[in-house]
Amino acid sequence: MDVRDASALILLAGGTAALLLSALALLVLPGPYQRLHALAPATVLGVPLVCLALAVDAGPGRAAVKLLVVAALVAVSGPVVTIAIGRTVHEERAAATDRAASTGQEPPA
Amino acid sequence: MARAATTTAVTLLSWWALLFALYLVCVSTVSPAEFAVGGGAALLGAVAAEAVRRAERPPAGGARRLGGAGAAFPAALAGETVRLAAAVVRTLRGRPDTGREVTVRLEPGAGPALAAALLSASPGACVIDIQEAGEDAGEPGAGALLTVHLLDAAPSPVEAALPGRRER
Amino acid sequence: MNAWLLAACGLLTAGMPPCVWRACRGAPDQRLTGIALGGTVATAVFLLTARGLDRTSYVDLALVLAVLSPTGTLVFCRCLAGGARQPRRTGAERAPGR
Repeated sequence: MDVRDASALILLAGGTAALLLSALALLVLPGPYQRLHALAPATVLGVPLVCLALAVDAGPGRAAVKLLVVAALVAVSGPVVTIAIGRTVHEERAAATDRAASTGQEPPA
Repeated sequence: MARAATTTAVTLLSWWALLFALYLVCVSTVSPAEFAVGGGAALLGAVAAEAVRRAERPPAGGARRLGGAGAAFPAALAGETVRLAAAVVRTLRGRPDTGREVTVRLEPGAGPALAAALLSASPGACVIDIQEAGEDAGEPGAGALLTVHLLDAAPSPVEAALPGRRER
Repeated sequence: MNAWLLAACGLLTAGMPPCVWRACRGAPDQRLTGIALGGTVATAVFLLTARGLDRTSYVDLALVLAVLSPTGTLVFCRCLAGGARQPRRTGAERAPGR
C-alpha cells in the first residue's frame, strides 16, 4: 500500500468517525438545542474528509474537482441549515410560551 | 443609476461564469450542444442570483473584521468535536446537560450572517436567533444581536475572537 | 468488498437509523435535525458507493443531493415558522407574516 492509499484510508476513517459521532450525538443528546450541535461535525468535518479521501484516491483531474465541489457545498450549507433550524425551534418555543401565557396553561416541553 | 447597472452587470457576469465553469467541470464530454445548454442554464441561474441580491441586498464588507474568528476556527473545530464526544459520553453515563443560552452583541460593521455561520460551524455553539442592528429598541449604533446556544460551559475560541461581547 | 463499500455499509447501518428515529419522534420543528443529518449521511453514502462499485455516475447523485437536501430543509423551516410568525417583536412597523 503506497502513501496515497494509506492517506486516503486515514481520511476515510476520520470522515466516517465524524459522521458516526454526529449520528450518535443526535440520538443521545437531550433537548432540541443540544441536538443542533450534532449537525456541525457531519457537515464541516465528516463529508469533506470523505470527499478528500475520494479525491486523493482519484488523483488530480476532473473527478477530484467534482468531489471537492460537493465537499464545499455541504460545508457551506451546514451552518446555514443549522441556523435556520435553530431559529425555527426558537420561534416555535416563543410562540408556544406566548400561547400558554395567554391561556394560562403549561407550555409543552 | 449607473452604479446600479454596474452592480447588476458584475453580479450577472460573475455568477454566469461560475455556474458555467462548474457545469463544464461536471460534464464528461463537451460538445457545441452542451455549450449552448450550459450557457443558457448558467444564464438562468445568474438571473436568479441577481433577483436574490436585489431582494435581500446583502451588505458588502462585513467580512473584514472577522479574520481573527476565521483564523481561530480550525482549532475550535478540533477542540469542540472532542467536547461533543465528551458530552455524548457524559450523557450515556447518566449526567445529561442541556447547555446554556447566551446573547452576543456584535460591533457595528461586523457582518452578522458571516459571524453566525462561523459560530455555528463548530460543534460548540449554535446561533439560534439573529436580530439585525436597529430592530430592537436598544442603543442606536449598536451592531446585531446574536442569541447563541452553547454545548457546555467551556469558552469557544471563535466566540472569543469575534468583534463583540456577551450581553447576558 | 473493499474499504469504501465497508464504510458505506457502516454509515447506512449505524448512521441512518438515529436520523430516521429523530425524524419520526417529537414536535414537527424538532424533527428537522433528523432530516438534515439524514441528507448529509445519504450524500456520504452515495459518494462511497460510487467509488466502491466503480460507477462514477453516482457522484452526480451526491452533487444533486448536496444542493437539494439543504434547500428542502430550509423549505420545511419556512413552512413551520410561517405559523408562528406573529408580530411579537417590538415595533409595530414589523409587518405580520414577514
